[in-house]
Amino acid sequence: MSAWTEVCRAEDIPFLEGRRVSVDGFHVAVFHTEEGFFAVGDVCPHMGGPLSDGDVAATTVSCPLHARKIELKTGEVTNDDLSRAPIFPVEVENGSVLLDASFIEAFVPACRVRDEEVA
Amino acid sequence: MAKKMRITVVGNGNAGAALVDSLLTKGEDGIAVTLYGDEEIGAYDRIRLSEYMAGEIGLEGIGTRSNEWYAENGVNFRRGVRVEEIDTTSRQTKGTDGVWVAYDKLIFAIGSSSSVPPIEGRDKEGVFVFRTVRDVEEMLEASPEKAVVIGGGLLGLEAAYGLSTHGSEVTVLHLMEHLMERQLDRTSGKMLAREVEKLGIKVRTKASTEEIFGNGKVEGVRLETGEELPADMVVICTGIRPNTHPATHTRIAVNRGIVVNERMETNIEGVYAVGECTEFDGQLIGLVAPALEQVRVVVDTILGDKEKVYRGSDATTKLKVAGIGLVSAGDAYGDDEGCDEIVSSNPVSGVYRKAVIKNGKVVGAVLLGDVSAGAQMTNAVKGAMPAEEIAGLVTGSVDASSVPLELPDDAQVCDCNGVSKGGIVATIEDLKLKKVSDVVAKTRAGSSCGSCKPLVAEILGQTVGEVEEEKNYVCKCMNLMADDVRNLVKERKLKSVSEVGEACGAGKVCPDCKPALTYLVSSMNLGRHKEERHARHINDRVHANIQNDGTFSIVPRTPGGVTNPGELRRIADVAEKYNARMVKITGAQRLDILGVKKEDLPKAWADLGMPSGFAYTKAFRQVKTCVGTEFCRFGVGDSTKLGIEMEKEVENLYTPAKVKMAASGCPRNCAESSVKDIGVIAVEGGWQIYVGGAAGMDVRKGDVIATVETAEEAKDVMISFMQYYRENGNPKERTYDFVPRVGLEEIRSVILDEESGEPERLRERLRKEKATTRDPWLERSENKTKNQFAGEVGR
Repeated sequence: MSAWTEVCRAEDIPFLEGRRVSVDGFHVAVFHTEEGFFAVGDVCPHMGGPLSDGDVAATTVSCPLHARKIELKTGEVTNDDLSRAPIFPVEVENGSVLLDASFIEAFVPACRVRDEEVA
Repeated sequence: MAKKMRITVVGNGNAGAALVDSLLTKGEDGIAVTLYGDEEIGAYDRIRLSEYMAGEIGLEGIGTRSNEWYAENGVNFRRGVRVEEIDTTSRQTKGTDGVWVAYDKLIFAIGSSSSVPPIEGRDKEGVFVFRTVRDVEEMLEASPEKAVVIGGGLLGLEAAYGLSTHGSEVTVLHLMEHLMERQLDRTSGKMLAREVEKLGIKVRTKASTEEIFGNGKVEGVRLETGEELPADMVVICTGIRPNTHPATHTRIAVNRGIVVNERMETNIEGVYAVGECTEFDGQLIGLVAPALEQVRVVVDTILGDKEKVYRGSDATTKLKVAGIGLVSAGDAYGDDEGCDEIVSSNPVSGVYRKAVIKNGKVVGAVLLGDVSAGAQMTNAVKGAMPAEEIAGLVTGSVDASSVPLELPDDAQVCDCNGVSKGGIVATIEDLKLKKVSDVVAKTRAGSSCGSCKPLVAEILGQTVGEVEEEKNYVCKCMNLMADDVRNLVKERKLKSVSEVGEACGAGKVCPDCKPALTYLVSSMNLGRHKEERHARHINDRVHANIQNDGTFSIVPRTPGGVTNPGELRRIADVAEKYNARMVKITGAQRLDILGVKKEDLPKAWADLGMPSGFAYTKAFRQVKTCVGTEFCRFGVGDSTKLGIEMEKEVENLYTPAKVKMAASGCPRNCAESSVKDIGVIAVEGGWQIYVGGAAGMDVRKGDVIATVETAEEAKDVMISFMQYYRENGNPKERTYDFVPRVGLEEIRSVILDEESGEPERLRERLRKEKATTRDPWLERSENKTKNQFAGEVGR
């Protein structure tokens, strides 16, 4: 069952950048790309870096800590042999960014690591 | 518990220290080591004494060990104690402290002493030898105006170099026709003399010293010809002789040195010797490499694995004398019947390469000035390889990096990621790789620190024969070089990274090159570009350095490393208020407040009221200074003032890669100017300017680009160099790569030729760009992007 939730406004995220949002207490990175908005868990599969602070081009984000590149459409790490980052469906309606929170449940561990560290 | 083997090592020089290390590693818990060292300080690397003397490294730099080190490693170190008596029957040694210590195995590593010829007046005050830290300290303390060094071998030249860096006028007297006649042939020996003279050291060959004269104290040296050279110091460096003292008058066989066999055993069971105190097959040794080989052999012998044997020194010398690279292997002369030579000699650049050939095989090699082919050439001599294989290296038609080195398959190539040569070769063959970047990507060798990349490239060459050419791309996706982008920006008057992307695709498909493109587009427009924050790294979007936990560090600017009580109080308050995890003094004499949350950065900066120190980016960082004439009793120039002024001239400017600077007030060089990207040292009557130095992942002593009279001239040279590097350096290329790539002479010809007007134009362009900059921490009240410092956005 889908659970679409508004996480932020589209204008909150500058073009070709990312920002962190919290969904049910979990950290998710939302990106504003040439092909629209994308969301991935805000924890790099490599060493847990904040992907929301990464560099963006096309639909790729490069982690600010060790430059592991994540394809936002698939969550795949393109320059290392690592597990995928969790991705979440995103819609933009009337200027608000909506995220399907039902997907969070499936990826709780991947998002929680980061949350506990910061808390 | 089994009884431990008691091993006593006598001597704590290079060989003694290596011996202790190796015994501790290989003997593990089965041994108990006693170490005698008659110098008061712990073990040190004697071959780096000259660097210590030249002030390039400190005592830590030559690796002296503390009492704690010996205690922690369970070594019974008898500091400052000499062995006086040996009883090889009851197996005990007695030191100058009167204590008898029992041993199961006794190893002599007592080294050698300076051999002083019977020159009249050699006992006068002011006559030195160059052997120990104490010798060096006493020489520096005496700080002579004029010094004469007797002996133009390695040691003599290093002593001369050390003294001249401290401002002494030095003359080297050498008995033979040319310098270092054991390692160099006539031509290279003469070339070395010219290179040494360029450093301000006078060289006199065929000079025989008759007498050191003076009334109690040295006043000068009289040559055989009757000529007198005034001097207030004489350093005798005419050779060494093995130390044998505690072994003489025992049953241990001593000839010129302590006599050993191929397992480093003496004639007495349980007694061994290694290093410069030994005599093997009539041979003495005077270099560190064979001594270390002997150490490996003796450790194997003692610990029971008797496979290794010593077969004598192969007379290979690889060293730096007075900063000049030199390699000598086998026969340097080629005077024997039937010998041929391949020679390439360029006295202008001071580069000499020679191979001696006998019956078509390489039997000797000399390299001076350019030693890039050193490994291949010594290999060729050791393996008596056919001359054809190295001919191109000597003539210079073949680049050394293209000639393979023989490495075993299990040799580790990448220490960071633990990748072996065999693993790399297998991957190359399996995936049919042809490009270095592909090999790096697939094997991870060279992907961390990158220092093994050249070796990876070499292995690729060996494996596939031909390596696909790869340039130093700024944008790998589009195969663009920095100068390609610069030309494009210039021709099409591009103002932003997006415009570059539209023009050529760079920065469109992958984010990797965006920060580099930003640098190129902004510097080409002298700061009048269209700023796009998405094309900068997070550090430059929030002007702080991201840490491994996602928090940031704050380093405020404190020009010249000078701060005050008010600033320190505010730094302390900020650290407390924003729960910084650490406050750290950095290597650049600054304070780093670590572990601040992104959303707290603007408030912290406002509380600090200090500008950004740019410690998070590829930019000019800081000028490290010493207190110079302001306070220091040795100060020659006001380095603090110059450093602060210089910092104001170039602050807030981005650079291809980070630029560290330093200003030292005297040749003691406390600010370490010679290992900075740009450094300046006050010398009597002016300032000496270094460029291209580094003391990080790579260590490189900077090149002296100019010596000028006034602080104003020094600033001009430094600013000209800075802008020349900003305009010509490849992104991520530090000055220590840039200077050798472009060439010191080429850089000099541009930035020092004031008559051409170019240096002034360089400075004008730098100032024009600087005028567009401001403290980025002011963005705290005028955000550049929406939610610039937000920890998170949304509800």
